[in-house]
Amino acid sequence: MAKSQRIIPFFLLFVTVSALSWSPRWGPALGAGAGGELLLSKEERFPLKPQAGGWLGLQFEVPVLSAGSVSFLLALHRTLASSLQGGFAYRGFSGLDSRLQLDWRWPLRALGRQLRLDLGGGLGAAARFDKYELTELSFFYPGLVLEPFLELRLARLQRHGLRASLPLTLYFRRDLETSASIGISLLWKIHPWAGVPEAAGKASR
Amino acid sequence: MKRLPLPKGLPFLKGLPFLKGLPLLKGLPFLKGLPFLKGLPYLKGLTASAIPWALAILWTLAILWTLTACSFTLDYERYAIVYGIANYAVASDLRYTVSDAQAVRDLLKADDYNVTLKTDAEATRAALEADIASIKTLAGEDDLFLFYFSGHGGPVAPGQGGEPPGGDSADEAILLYDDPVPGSLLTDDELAALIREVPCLKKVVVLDACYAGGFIGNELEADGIPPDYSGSSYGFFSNLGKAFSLYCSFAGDSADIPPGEAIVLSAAGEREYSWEAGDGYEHGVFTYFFLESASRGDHNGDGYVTATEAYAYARQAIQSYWNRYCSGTEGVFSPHVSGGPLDYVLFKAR
Repeated sequence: MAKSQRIIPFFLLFVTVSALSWSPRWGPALGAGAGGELLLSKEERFPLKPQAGGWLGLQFEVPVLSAGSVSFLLALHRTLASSLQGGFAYRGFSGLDSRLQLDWRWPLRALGRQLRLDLGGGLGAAARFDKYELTELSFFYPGLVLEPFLELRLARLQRHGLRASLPLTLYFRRDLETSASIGISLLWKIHPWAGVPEAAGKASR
Repeated sequence: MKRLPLPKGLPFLKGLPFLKGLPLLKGLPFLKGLPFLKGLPYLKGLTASAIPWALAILWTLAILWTLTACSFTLDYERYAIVYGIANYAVASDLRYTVSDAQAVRDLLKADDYNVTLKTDAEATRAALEADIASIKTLAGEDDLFLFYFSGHGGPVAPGQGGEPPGGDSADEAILLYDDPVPGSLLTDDELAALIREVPCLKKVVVLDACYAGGFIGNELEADGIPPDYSGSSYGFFSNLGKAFSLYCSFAGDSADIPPGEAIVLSAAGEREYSWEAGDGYEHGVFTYFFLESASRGDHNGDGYVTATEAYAYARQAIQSYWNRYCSGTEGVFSPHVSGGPLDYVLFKAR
């Protein structure tokens, strides 16, 4: 038992190093993005209400294997209070949103000389540290993210990419029966250590 | 490939020549080749390129719906029990607690609350139990219940209280009029048990008494304001660690008044005094600003003042007008509020 416990970290290290060494030509990426979300909240005894929200954040992405990547997103976000219908509202809050996510991509097609388009999906874990608006009350809760996306790589700007996604997040809040969001986000990515990308290679004259 | 004409009002795009050739701005033709769409015959009539746009439009409409669905009418009953005790049989007298209660009664009545007011010798434990029993027969789930108290408060039985995480080890109590002493103290857990009988889902407790923060039973929220406010607050990492720890150790069996039971607005922290003053106040300092919140506390301008807005206004005003004046003395204090995801409408903004 003790021996296997010692082996596991070495195995994980081996997988990580191997994955990084097999990573594709793009290399690690830095990104900046923004998004909006519609949060659905329901307390046990009260009806469900929507809350609008948005975020601004930075991402660091490391490619793994041939078509995957692991990304870490750190964002500032704000969720507005719900309507007052029924004499109550779900409180607004704001704070830090962090996400660790594994993404996978399937190339759709190279679009002529200009673009390459990937369809992708991501699965990750979220952790939020928020403060209710107008108070000094802070709280923490985790979440699970499922994020289908389209990623566009631009030949003329070889190191740049644009990612549009529809993240679905389920939050595990202890004081709410339901807390889930659907969002739209846009992320601008730059691969500072990239070689010549494939789409650009095909577009050579 | 046609070049996209750039809008004249977006000069910064002129520096991004690659945008001129973006095909996605011309109906997203590349999506037509998506293999998974071929298996969906009912989509035949629908241009695949319209899907992302339809999603974006739906999402935008949903956001607009959230933002605009703010209009509502107070079409439910609101019940209030208001107690103020100035002339105690068993403790030192206070000067403005009865006028606090009367002013709160006037404010609530003007906002169409059904108010029961008890002052001094009327404000006993038996009277409170009877008043709550009475409201229990009248009120329904959709109604709102408010309990306001102005008088003495303090800690009891140090080391024996069933406090929630983050609290001290003592129960706190408010002092009712009862004579002799036994029965005059109403502890946080006893008040929680009493208001639990009220069938309303929306409940608010407003306490202008010393140590009243001890009535708040937050189990998930780390309060950045210390229980003995000295002008400082806890740091970011301290709050983060505490919030994480509270989430992990959450058991759902809070002592005191948990947020799920009622939103508590306390005049002071768990280890500090609440103050009253003449000199233009002629009320408890917290109550003075709580009353004022009806006319100045509508933070988001939606025409209603919620419990959190009333708290925020009173807290900010106490910082600006009272604590600044009392800086460096024991008179400094800060209101506290319950956590929880919900907020309730208290009054129409005046």
